[in-house]
Amino acid sequence: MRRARRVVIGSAAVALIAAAVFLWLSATGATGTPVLRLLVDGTPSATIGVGSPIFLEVFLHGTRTAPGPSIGGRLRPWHRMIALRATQNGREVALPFVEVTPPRVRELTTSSDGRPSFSEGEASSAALDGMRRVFRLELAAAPDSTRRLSAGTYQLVASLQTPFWQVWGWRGRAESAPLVLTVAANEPPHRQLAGTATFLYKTRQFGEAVRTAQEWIARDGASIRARILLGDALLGGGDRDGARTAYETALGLANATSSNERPNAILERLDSLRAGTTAHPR
Amino acid sequence: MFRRLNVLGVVVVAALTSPGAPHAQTPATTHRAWTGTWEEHDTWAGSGRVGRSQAQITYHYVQAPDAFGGLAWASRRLTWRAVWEENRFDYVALWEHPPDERGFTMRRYREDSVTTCTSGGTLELGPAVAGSGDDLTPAQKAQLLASCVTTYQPREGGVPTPPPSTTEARELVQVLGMPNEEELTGCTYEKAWPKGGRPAGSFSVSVSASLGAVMEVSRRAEEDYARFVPTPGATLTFTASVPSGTARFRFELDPDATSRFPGYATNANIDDAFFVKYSLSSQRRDYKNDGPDVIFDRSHFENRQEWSRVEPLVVETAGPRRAAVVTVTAMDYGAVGRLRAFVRSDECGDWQPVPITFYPDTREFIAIPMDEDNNLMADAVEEYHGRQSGADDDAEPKGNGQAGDGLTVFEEYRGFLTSCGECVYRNFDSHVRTKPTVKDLFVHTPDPELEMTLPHFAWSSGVETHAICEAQYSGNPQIDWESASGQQAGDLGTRPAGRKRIVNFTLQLARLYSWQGHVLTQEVPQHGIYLVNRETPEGLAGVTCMEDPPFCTGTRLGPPMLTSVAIVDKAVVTDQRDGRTGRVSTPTHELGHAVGLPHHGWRIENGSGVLVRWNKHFFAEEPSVIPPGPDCVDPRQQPADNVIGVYYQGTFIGCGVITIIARNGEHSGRADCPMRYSFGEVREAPGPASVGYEVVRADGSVTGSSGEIKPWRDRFGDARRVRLWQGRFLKYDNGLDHDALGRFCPVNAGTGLNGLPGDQNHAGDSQVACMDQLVINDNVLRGTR
Repeated sequence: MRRARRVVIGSAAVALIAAAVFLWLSATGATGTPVLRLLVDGTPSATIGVGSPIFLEVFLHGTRTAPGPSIGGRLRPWHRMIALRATQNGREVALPFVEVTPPRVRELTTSSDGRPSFSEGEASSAALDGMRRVFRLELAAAPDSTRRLSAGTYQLVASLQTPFWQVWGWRGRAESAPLVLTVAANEPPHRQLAGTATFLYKTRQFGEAVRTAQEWIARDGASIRARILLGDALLGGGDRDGARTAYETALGLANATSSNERPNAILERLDSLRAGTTAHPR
Repeated sequence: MFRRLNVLGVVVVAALTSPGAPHAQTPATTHRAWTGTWEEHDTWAGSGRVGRSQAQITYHYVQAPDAFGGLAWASRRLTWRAVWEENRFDYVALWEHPPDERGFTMRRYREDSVTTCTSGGTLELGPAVAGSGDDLTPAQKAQLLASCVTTYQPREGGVPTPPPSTTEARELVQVLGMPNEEELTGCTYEKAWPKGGRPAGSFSVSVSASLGAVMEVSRRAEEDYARFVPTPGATLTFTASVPSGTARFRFELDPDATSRFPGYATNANIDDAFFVKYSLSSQRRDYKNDGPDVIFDRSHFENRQEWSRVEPLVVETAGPRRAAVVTVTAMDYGAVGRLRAFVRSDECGDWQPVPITFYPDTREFIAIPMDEDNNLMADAVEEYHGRQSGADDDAEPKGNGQAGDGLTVFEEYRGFLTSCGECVYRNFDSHVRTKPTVKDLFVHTPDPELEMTLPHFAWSSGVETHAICEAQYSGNPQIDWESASGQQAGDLGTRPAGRKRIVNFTLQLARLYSWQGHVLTQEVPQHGIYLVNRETPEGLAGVTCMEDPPFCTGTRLGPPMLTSVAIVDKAVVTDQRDGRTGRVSTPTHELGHAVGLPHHGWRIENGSGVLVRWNKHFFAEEPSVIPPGPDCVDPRQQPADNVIGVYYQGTFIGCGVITIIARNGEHSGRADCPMRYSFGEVREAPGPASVGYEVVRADGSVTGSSGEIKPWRDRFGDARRVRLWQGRFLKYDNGLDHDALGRFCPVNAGTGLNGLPGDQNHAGDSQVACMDQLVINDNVLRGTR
């Protein structure tokens, strides 16, 4: 009797394990491949100076032919599975990156009359849907980190790797195309200040960002972008009047240029100030 | 004037006057096939002439018993090809003109001329009675005539218009006759003859039992052949058979009639991913970018006992058999080929062509794919059926009236690879055959967030918009972003000689404009747009650059060739209205410029589709001040936030502003058009134009509701001179402003805040309806650059 019970329990255990293995195997690769893209300053390659910050964007989406799987969840958000690897001449280089904005998703929907519309928000689970949903993670390496780099060419690769123990959802690994980053020994000071001010602003160090933006303006008085960043940083620190003055100066400079485009980005900021809202770039 | 032409033809009158008894060594059968080839070539030079000629005739005659027990030709088929060219230099010719002052109508001129004659085709001569000789009908003789064109070029300058080209028909070949039975050696006949000590021609014949082989191909719509559309790796099978006995089979893809278009789609070259994606790994080592587009893929002919000869364009069975099934493989989305089949008797004789039954016709070859309208495109794809390969007449959207999108119907049929994932995951590339009736635009952007806005541009414009990766056009422009002078040394793709951004690059870079008399691609290459997220020159949210990055102040908009790069700076675009407006409308707006769409305040300088900026604006070197009015009240009398009172010696002279929105300017027109600007401070009131101003002195200002006049320096530095505008000005109500996320405007009438009555009307009608300026076709620039 006891032996028979043991046989039944053993058989049930084997069946359970077999079912688990079957489920595990059937989940692997069954729902398409995620596409991972890595860009620096909006392109697949860039040049920065030693001591300038590096701004990276990691994008995750599906393909047109296969919408793609659902990756991550509340317990382990998708962006926690992203890893970055920097190498120089094949040797790994330590280069810490921080998240500068919360991971976001942009979604494209189409109404019955074919009109596209877009929405944006935060998402811990990346439910891919071709190019209709693009998940974005913005990372930056601080100026202090890049100060330790030697001049040369580096390759950066982003990877998405599910943990081995994960038995639900999509499992596997995806890699971005390598990004080529050239680190130059010298860089014009205003460019370095621009990068540093942007880094400080994006990491919400508004006071330092204001100080660096002012230094940037002192070196490059014609820079409209420096005034916009100064205004954004002042606004971030709560100085609305200071922000307005900075935006208005930027607007005056922009109006004096021969550009064919109007400085709408500045006008929108001024309008938001008047309306009592903020218009931060995200 | 011309060399005797019959040097090309062998004047052999059909010599079957006495077929007699079959030769002992020839096949002992009542039906015999006589197959062979005659060819001759020649070159000559001297006495001011240089020329060449080449001719080939292949023939297939079947001999059978006649009603009287003798032998006669039951059928005779000729296939011929001939060319004759001669250049004459510096000879005297008489030209006829209208009478001159002396009444002469003829004058002598020295001239050159070029004469080119071509002839070719297949002729069924039908049966012939023994001893009847050359019995071609007049219609058959006319078919053999070559068409000759002579063009004349005067050697002297300043002569009147030379005579136009002349055309005439000439006899280049004459019907061959078979050798006599006694002249055969075994079952063959060989003869060669020299000219001037060099080989000049040959004539070979072989005689074998007529095998009566046939290959049947169905044209029924539901059958594989009629449904076949070429795709790399796609296959078709054909079966040839002999009714009795056995024979060896050979299948040939005609090398002259099988395309070798570079790449495998209009914008795709052969690469490693090609062989993986289309399961053609057996071709990886040998197949080249300009290899034949229809082949015998060796993976279908691996059985060596079945197939003895396997080459890309020829396969032969290893031994005699009753029937043979052959598989042809397409290697290109626009593949074109011609398949012929041959059989050979085991006993004697040469390869005999197998007639192909394609009800109700009998043909000597079968076209791959089925192309009964002879336009290079598969009849199975209805959208392209009956269209000329070289046409480019996409009508929608109408735009500036320039039809087409720079891509021929053939290029649209051959199709494009579109991608996501920066060409990293090539297996996920999608192939699309674009519509020949709707204009197409190709955009490369590395940024997926910008890529996902392309459907919005497509919806706004009605232009089919396709995202491509860098490898799917001829590369990104080479821009020096740090150029201090604005001079660009790299290739921006903005000139016809440039090689960057070309979408139809496979045919364009190979300069393969036509093939077999069909136009493939046009004179000017079609360009894609490079859309990138990066810092703009002046802190703008977006800008479109012509040949002048990094400054980007050019105004010659559209078509795409003129736009080196469209830039959107995501870091500057705000999250106003949930971030959707700027992040979608800005790329849509910049892509609009890239295809010729102007701002609403711009005027067209001429009708050639090229825009020159006409900006009615209120930008000024001095700070601008608007005069007192309902929306400009002295803040000391009526405190108000956001109003800047300007004073001279304590007298209120107006309100300081930075930007004034002009009537019928960039904010005007249809409210939801993405080319319209939104957001403003003050605006010109409706009514008489108020473009005048005077420069006056000012020494202080009141900001907001403080009431205290401050020295004129907190906002405008040390300026003492201000530009005081004349006329009426009202507050610009941003609350009424639309998100500019509609369609590009087809009319210039204002809507929304620009369609309101009276003083509520903000900027009025636009100067242009921007959709009237849309131009996609780079061929509009033909001959202009």
